Amino acid sequence: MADKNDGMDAMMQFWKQGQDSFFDAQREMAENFGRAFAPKPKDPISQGVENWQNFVRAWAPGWDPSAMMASSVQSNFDKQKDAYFALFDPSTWMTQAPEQLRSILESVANMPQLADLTYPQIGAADQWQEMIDFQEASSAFGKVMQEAWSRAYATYSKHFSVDDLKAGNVTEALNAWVKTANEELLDTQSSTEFMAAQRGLIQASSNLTKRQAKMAEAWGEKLQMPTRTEIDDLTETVHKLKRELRKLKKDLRAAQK
Amino acid sequence: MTTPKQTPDNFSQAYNTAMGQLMDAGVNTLKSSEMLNAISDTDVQIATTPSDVVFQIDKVTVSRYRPLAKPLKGAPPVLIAYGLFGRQTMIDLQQDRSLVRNLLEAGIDVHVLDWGNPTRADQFTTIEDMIDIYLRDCVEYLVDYNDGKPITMFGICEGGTLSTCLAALAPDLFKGLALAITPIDFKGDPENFWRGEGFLNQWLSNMSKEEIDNMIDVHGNMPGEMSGVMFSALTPMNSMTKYNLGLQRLQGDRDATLNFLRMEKWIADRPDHPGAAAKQWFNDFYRENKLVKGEFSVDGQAVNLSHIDCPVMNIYALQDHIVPISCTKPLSNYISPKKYTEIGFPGGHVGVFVSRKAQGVVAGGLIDWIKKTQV
Repeated sequence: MADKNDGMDAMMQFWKQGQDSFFDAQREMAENFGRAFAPKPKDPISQGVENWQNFVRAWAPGWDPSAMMASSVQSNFDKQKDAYFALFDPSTWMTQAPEQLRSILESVANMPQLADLTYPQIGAADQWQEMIDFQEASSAFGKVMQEAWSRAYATYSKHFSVDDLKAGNVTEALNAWVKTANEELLDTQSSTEFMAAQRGLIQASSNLTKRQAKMAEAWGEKLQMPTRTEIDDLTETVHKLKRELRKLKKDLRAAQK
Repeated sequence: MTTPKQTPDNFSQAYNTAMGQLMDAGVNTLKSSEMLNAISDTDVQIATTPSDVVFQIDKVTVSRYRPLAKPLKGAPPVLIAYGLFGRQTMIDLQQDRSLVRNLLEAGIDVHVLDWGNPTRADQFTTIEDMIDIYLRDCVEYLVDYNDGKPITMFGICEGGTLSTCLAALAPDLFKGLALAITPIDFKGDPENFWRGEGFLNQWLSNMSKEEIDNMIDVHGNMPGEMSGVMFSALTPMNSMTKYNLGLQRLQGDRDATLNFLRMEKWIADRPDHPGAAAKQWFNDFYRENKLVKGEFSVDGQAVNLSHIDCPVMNIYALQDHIVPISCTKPLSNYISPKKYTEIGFPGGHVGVFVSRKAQGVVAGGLIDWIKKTQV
């Protein structure tokens, strides 16, 4: 169950993601730098295929093994293989609940209430819906930030290419990246898209946390435990009494003068 | 950028440049890591100027700093009040960057207000309570201490706004009002904000009253950590790189690392803001700009800024991304020009207190103003 700082955690998480993106960009820059100084390495699969072809050619000079690789069997295998490996790619996983789930939850949450029956599932459905809202708001906020990082990298790439890195000034390249990214993030943070996403995330997180607190209080009441609402009510009463007492003391002092 | 043609000679030169820079960065990182390992938390002390608590109301205290020089004859005591989105320790971050020490060395009797650590039990404290109960009681204590004569108030950031309200409501209590990085007109001039300026104004204007209330009601108070995340987001790349590139650039220098860590200690000590007051701060001040519209009232009495009749000094930061200049300068519209002075400090919001330059410009300017208008 998410805790009271869900919204903040989500914001922190996105900032962390931002930082990860920053480091990814640094890594990418370092790789570009590496490419600028070194010949492009072959990926292990291409390298393996080439080695195998060389091996076959060495033993059977008249036979072209690449023809076998182009066969339909192989191409079907590649397709199947790609589909299989895609299952392991987190970017292809569904990050949001399907719309059907939302409509089911809505129908549960809005079902008519009968006086002598309890409906714990209504509260649960409400909470579930708010969890989905929170997921969607998190994704929307993440999308805005991800796009900002992509724009930052695109802008940076226009000014700094692999060829530029051939001058060898990595410090200048890094400083330019920090400046470019900062400007892009600042621009993003004043955009209507960012503000809408930020507002949505804060609201979704607040609503979810409130719902969770309400459900926790329902259990607390059943178990004869004091609830947050009761303590807050008492606190408010004490606060009002203190304020009233101060005012009376002040009036009394003024009357005595 | 022009692309140098790659020849064996310049390839070798570029390779050496790159390797040299990478080596330097690596060495600096190692030095900084070693320095961090060599420093313990007890080495990082802030707010070390000795003081004694002389007044308390609930969690709010007033402390008097012990004098460091012969008293400046005729100068009233000064009460410094910060807000609740940070801690007043910023005015005494370290010995060589301490507004407090500068004032004490000039012979000024310095007191500081500490709002304490509000908990959920304080969530119903309103801005009116902060102004008319806590701040007023502290000021009245100091007026009594000063034989019934008015005092000099120095309000900073939110504390400056609260002090301004009290100076308008009870002008007899004040001989002078100094302010630093204090928002007055919360709308400012958004058309002319520079990149990164006024995010708080924009973000809060974008939310409805209900949304802001809802955000704070969930926690009871405005959690200090939430304020911290908000402030970090205002300077995104600086926040993301301060523990890697930032530390690396310190090159393991002990003094620079300690300066950095003292600042970190100050940032980490962010109190929770009482919920009801935070809602008013965001809704009444930021969203509805009630102060300059004359719509904000305390105990039924409207806060009319033109009722301030003591000399006023307004210190603002020219590169302040939190309180835009256009949000603080409009105070001059309400004060007689003969009584109004301002200093535009070339730095950022916090730089007004912690930068080396500020010790001369800000502290020096404040002391000159006290000598000229308060003595």
